[in-house]
Amino acid sequence: MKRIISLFLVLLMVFSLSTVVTAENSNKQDVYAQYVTQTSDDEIIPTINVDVAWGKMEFTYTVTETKKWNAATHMYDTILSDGEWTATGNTVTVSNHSDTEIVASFAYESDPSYSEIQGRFSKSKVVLTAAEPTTTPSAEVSLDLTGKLPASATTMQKVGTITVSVEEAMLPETVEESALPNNDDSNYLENMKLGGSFADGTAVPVIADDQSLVISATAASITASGLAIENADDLSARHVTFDVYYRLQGNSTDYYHVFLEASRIELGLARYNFYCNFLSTGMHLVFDVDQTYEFVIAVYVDGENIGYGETTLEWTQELADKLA
Amino acid sequence: MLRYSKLIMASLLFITTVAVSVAIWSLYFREPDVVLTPDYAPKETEPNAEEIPGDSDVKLEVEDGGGAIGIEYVPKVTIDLSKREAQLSFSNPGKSTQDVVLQIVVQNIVLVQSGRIEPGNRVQRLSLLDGIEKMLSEGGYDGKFVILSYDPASGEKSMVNTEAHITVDVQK
Repeated sequence: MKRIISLFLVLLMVFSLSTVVTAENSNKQDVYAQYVTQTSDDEIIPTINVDVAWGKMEFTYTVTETKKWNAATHMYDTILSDGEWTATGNTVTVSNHSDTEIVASFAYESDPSYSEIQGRFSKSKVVLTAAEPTTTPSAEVSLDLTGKLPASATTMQKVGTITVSVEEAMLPETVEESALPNNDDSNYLENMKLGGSFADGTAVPVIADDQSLVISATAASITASGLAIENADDLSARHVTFDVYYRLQGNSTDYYHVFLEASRIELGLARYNFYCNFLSTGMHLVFDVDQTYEFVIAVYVDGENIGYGETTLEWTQELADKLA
Repeated sequence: MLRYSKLIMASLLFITTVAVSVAIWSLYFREPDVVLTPDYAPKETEPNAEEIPGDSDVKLEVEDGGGAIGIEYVPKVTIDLSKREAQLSFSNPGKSTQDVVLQIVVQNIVLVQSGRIEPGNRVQRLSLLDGIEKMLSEGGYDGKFVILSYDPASGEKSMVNTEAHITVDVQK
């Protein structure tokens, strides 16, 4: 009996093997392959890649000494001219190899021993577009010194330090001119200014202690809009916001657009002053020194548009320093 | 005699209270020592620095007497409090003409200061300065890399510092 069972099992195994072999021979299966590029769903972490190069940064303060005969003392008096600064290698160049726009800012800090000497860059801030295969966006700025160097500094002394700050650019969105809210004359607010003086019809930019730039509009204009805002207390209790559009004067480019909130409202001489902190936008607002910018500003009270005004602003070094 | 014992007990209690107060202040409230920026490059290179694979050593063009650095970094740093280290990506590529020392600064407090990082090297982890882990709690912070440049020959600090905005994520 055991022999029969063993024989049966052996035969079963043999047939099983042969079945496998037969199957392999009769069912050839082709194998296919395909190359697919898949974009990762992971967050892309930008890598910033920047070159910063600087020159010798040596400055010479030259004073001309003139001898003048003094008939009273029968001696020569020494007269010193105002000093003049000349520079050797006073440039800083920043180049962007990143795949993202960057903002580079330049600052000069006086050494405590030479606090009377101030440094100013030709541009306090530059925006560099993302690098492209054939181009490396770069910008060069130069440093000038002002102030008097003591006569004791007859050899090269360290008078200050330069800091170049780099970060990914967060620029305001741009808006086409046709999208601006300045197409309705009935909604026009007269005498809107970025600044605090109307004496000669021009705006004098005012920076408050909290680094707010003041937007002024005549109280009459706002009252005339039908909101019946009669005193500052009424307006102060309300939520006043602005859509600010700006571009370089005379340019036909799109406008930059930022949203501002009035952190403080005061009723001045027949006008409201709204204190708005431009830095609170978190955006890099890039203005070039000694350039004039045109602004269109729409005003909202509790979310309701009450009109718009237009003004210009000359961006000065003083403004740049205060809002740095 | 009883009065004398009470006096000793009161004194011991006072001394114990002062000792405990000093210990608590030292552990939880004492600010770390102020970190000074070195005027000359540290002689020791950063122990965590490693060579950048496949990096070129063709130097940037520099005016006579000037300097140049090429920096590459990810603007996001993670601080692992349990390991007392910062995890980051920062390179001083071979094209730089300067050695650099890297600081990680948050709210004007220097959390990390590297040793000297020579051109062609990168760091991916740096140790926290002593006591910093007691000042930090979990969460996100705005911070900056402060990159101090030093002449490799003289070791003198350059008059140009570079700063870069980063975000710092602190984890336990």
